[in-house]
Amino acid sequence: MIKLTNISKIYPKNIVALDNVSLHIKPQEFVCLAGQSGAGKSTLIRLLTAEERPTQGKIKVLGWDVDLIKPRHIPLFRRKIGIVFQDFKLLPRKTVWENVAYALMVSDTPDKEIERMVPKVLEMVGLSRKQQQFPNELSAGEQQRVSIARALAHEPKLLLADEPTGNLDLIRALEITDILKRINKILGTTIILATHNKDVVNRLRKRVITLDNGVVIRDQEKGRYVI
Amino acid sequence: MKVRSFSRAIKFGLLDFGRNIWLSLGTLAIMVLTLFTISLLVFLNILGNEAIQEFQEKVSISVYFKSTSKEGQIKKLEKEVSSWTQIKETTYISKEEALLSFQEKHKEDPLIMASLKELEENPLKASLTIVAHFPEQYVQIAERLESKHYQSIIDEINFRDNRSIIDRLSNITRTIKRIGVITGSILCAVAILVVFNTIRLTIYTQRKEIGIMKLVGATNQFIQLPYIIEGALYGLFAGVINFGILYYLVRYISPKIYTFFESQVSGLFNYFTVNLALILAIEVGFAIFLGIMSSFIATRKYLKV
Repeated sequence: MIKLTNISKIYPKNIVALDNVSLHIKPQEFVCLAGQSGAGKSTLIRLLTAEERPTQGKIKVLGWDVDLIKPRHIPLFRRKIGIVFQDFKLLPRKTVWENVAYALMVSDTPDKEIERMVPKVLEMVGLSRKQQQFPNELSAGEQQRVSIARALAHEPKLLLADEPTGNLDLIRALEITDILKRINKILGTTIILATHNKDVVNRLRKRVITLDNGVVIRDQEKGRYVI
Repeated sequence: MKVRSFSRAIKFGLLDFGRNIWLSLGTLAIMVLTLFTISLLVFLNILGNEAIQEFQEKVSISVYFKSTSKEGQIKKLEKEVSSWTQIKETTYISKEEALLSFQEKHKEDPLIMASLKELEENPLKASLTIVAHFPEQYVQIAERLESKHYQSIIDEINFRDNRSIIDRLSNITRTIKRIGVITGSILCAVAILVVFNTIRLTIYTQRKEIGIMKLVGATNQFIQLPYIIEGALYGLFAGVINFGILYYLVRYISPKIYTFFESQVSGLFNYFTVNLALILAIEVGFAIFLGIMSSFIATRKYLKV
């Protein structure tokens, strides 16, 4: 599903974000990417979504050579994955329904299919009754759930979540964690969750890959957050 | 892009225009104002040209011939003068014609008519009215007519009196044209920049959304099209509103202009109504073009995610 081989990312002024990272993630896995701020979690996610390119190394995601991907193929690639962000990244001028539908419209999905999928994913995140609201009318936890629904709408095999609980209190954070866990279990979606929240990691009891200063320092099945 | 995506993008464009109504109205207002400024300049130019032409047509040189001159001599002179490059037209009025029009003009005045009868012969002189292409040419024409060659038949050249007026008019004409072109192009550039910047600012406030759309997998075209539709809508509405304002303005001020120029022809409103469709098409077309181009250039910048 995902294969990273000797990945390094060096920013200008010789700032090393990732240093020779190699990883293998299997289908239907749930992986926590743990580590302090600045450990390289977000950089890793951005490399996986083709927002940035590695300085060195090979990235293979769902059969795409992401390190070599052509700019015009990036939209096609992104339609195969789902992304959830710390700051939700909802479209403020579109309703909840439209935000989710937008992810389907970009791939020219027929109306029938959109009308079938959108209520389904909104129900999965528990927002069936807020379809016609705008993002600024929702709480932070609800906004993040919209963002998850959007990421799921096109039924991706892989869901990438970069600090999705970063802006939420503990209770909301654990709610989101449970939703992701349920998605992994019911839909079989591979999930990579980058977080520095100890409680989130410990509640999941899934594979934990710990990054520190751009290096993988630990990779455990059913791991706990240890720094 | 597929038809379905295309129609969705258009729908988004319309929807965004409505949801952003205050921002849209602000942009629209600025566009209307700038378009109005441009149109006003164009109309002032038309008006100025028309006025100048009006004046120019009223300027002419009248040559009066001695009563001893034979009609043949005069006709020969007219033929010669007509061949000069500066001459637009010449009109010959014979003694008899002059008398007839004089009588016609004063038939209500018994005193004049009576004194005319007292005279044994026609006191009026034959004359030639000469119109030049440009006012500055009258000096040359007058000088040529004053040459010895013509002195035997010409009694008087009625130009010296008008000379200062003609000189001044040709000066004013030239200055007005020069100032008009310069200020016109500067204002036009300013207007286009203002519209461009306004639309750019509108899109600047939405640059994050553009980034989000890209992350969700939208192609550049799918992102850009709604903004271009929005830009076209600004143009369409601004063009139509501006046309409406102009129409009523011209209708209102035209009669005042006629009175000012004491002329029935001067036809700004005529010009306007005759070219109604053309003006509308140019106005709206230009505005839409401006809106689309501004949106296109502005979005391109933020699409490079």
